[in-house]
Amino acid sequence: MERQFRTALGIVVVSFVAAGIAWAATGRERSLAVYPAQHIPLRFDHKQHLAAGAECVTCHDAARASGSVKDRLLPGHEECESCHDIEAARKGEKTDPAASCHTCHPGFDPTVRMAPAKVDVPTANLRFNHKVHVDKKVQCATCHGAMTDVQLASRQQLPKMATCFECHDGTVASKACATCHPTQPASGRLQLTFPSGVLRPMQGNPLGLDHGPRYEFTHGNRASVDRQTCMSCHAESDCQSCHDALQKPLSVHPNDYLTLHPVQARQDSVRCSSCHRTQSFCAACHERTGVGMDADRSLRPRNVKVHPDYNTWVEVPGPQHHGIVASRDLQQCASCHREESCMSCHSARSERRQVNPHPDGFGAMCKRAASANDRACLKCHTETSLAEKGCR
Amino acid sequence: MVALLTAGTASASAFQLEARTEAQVYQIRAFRGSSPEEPVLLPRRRIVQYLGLTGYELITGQDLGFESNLRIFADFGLPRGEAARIDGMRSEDADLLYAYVRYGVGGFEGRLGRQVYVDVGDILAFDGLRVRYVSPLKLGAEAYGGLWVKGAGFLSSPVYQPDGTRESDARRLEQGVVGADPTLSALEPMYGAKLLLEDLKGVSASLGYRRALVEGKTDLERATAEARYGRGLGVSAVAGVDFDLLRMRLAQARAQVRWDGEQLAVTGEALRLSPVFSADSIWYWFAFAPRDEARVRLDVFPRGPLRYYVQGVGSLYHTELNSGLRLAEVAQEPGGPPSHTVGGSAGASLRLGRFRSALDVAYRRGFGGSQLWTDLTAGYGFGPTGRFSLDGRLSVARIQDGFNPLLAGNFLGAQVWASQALTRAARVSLVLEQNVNPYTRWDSKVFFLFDLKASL
Repeated sequence: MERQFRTALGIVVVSFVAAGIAWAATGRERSLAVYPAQHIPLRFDHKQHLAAGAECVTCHDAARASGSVKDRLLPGHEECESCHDIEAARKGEKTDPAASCHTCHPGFDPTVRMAPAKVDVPTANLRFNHKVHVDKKVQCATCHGAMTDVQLASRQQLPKMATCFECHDGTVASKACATCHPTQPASGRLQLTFPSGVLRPMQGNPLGLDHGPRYEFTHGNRASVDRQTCMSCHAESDCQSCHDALQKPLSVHPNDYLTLHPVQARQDSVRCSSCHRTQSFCAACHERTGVGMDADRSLRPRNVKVHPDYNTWVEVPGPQHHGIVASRDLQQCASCHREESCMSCHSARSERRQVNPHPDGFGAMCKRAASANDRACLKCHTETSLAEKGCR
Repeated sequence: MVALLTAGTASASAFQLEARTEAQVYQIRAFRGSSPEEPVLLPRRRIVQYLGLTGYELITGQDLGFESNLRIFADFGLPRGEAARIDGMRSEDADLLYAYVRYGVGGFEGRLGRQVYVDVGDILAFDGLRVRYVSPLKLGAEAYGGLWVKGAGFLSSPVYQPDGTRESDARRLEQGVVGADPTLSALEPMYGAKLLLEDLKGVSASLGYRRALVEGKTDLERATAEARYGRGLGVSAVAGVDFDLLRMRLAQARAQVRWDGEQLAVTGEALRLSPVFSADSIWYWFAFAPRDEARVRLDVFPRGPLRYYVQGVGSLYHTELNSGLRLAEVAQEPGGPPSHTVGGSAGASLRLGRFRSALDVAYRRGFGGSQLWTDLTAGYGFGPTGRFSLDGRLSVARIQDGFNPLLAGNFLGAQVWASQALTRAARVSLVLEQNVNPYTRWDSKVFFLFDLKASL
């Protein structure tokens, strides 16, 4: 059974890798939200045309005056005809260079169809002004790359954000998101949803914002230090839709998480606290389910223990003593216990025992601590004992 | 609301309504009166209603608006009177999660009202004012102040309140319990400020200070330093330090350095993490130690719809005990729980038109136990606009809890999520989850969601 399971797992993994390699040549890594999918049923060779002496403006002259991404900058028959005698070819004459329909429209036979398959190059979901860039002497190849090795141009020849950032660095040109990305008319935040897809920072994002797999688990550092950037796309409600402690976001908490959360909580308690406070959330539920021992008498655990045996855990100083665990992960304790649990042994007022819970050197700082806030001190100490210890 | 009612006269104003209704039906395993052979399951029948209202450009041509979100919930699975016996348990309530007015002009931004504030120190919410100004010289300042939002307050959630104490001792005060603390639910004024440097040659940074008080005594006092760098493809970094001024020690530190290339990215992270406790909590003054964590991740994205990642993670749990205790002498003896965790994860994700899928495998062992998770998700949007979508998720986990021997074994869960757009603004979803495990044996969960997002 074990062997069969391993074999099955191996097949799944190998299939995934093989599928990855198979797709590796399809070249779709540019954002579909920015550059929608194109359909270009043409035969064209930039390399050949450039080698023959053509320049970019020979075919794309309109780009020099273009002020909008909506402008059509691809050549039509008019531009082609500067070299290709299409009319002569239509009459059946032999031309050089070739100018028959199927020279550029492979498979098109004008005697069978009225028109060749339509070229579909949707407008990019960007703000862009070619004229401004041309006026600043930005070369075509700076954004579109060297076309000398390209046959049919596609989305691969449209610039990625990293290319833009070579000039849009905040000094030479603005690096504000809205310089290039459309914004929502009301909020001013970036427009994220387009018919062709959802805009999200992807691989190669020049600010390191790539929202890759499992980003819900890795965004914490960025969000805590750089929230202003997050807010250029996200509304408060986007954060709240997970960080609110009631919604149970299913992408964050996998199946059966309620049962399985203890191990994750022990190994990542700080992550839990980005949504759940131990004393107002965790302890309450744990008391209801009978895990917490400081609950109302009617709700206390009776027959199921979740710790090692009492002597090992509490009485005998040893490597499995709760004090060591508490020192390493105090949130774990606070998520089930109330302060009274600890005070029953760690309070100077306790009749049971008075085990000092403070760290080394605490005596030297206790006066300053008590002067800032002595409420916690007075839960375990009397005024007199504080004074005797030199904390007053 | 006034602006909304008079929207007809303010032509440029825009309003958005965001509402979500979420019903959750499932069980929680009880540890009371149950045995491994006969688990007792407690019902959860919760309904949560969110209502978000947002307004923009309340005055034509001015960046003046507001954002708000109200949450109303009830748990019909709680037996009558049970919530009253548990501190922090609410069977029904209403929380105003945030509601603030925002104004921006030039480099100035101001927010007034209930707002969430996030920095390297914590996530918190306060009722008050925050102003921020960044000059054309890229230097600026931020100041904020108000009342910390605590669970005991009016229309308040405890989600971001200071931790380590109950949200209220009202129940214990009523019962006359000795030591019950009436100040737990007292107002908590807080204030803070930051000096800002914004994007000078790709570098942004801040130096901050924050203090909160309860009845005149300091509850929290922190200093923070944050920095980030990003200037195009290549190296980017974020870092932050949270220093506890009350105990005069480093509380938290985060650093992330990432290198992005055309085909792959490498990320390294180092973190020092400590719980953020209120100084009113006895635990804040206990000997407890921070946890250090390091992560290294490699993302690979060949051309195509698939991308992969592999990550390694390691944590070190420091031990801090009073050296006067006998326990300090035996803390390093063999036989105790490990003071570290090591692990890693790997996965791939696929986006192909309306189809998406991901496979993740994660493993971690050490302090707290061991866990192996395998998670496979896949989804497809049907129809030309993906009005109907169907997602599935299969999770297999092998768990060994380091402290609770009852929690061990293989856990299997399956989830199906069907979602139908009713209109451009409304979507209804149904989620069914089925789990099989040696712990609760066989349990089902049902989630129903109705989302509405409309421009008014």
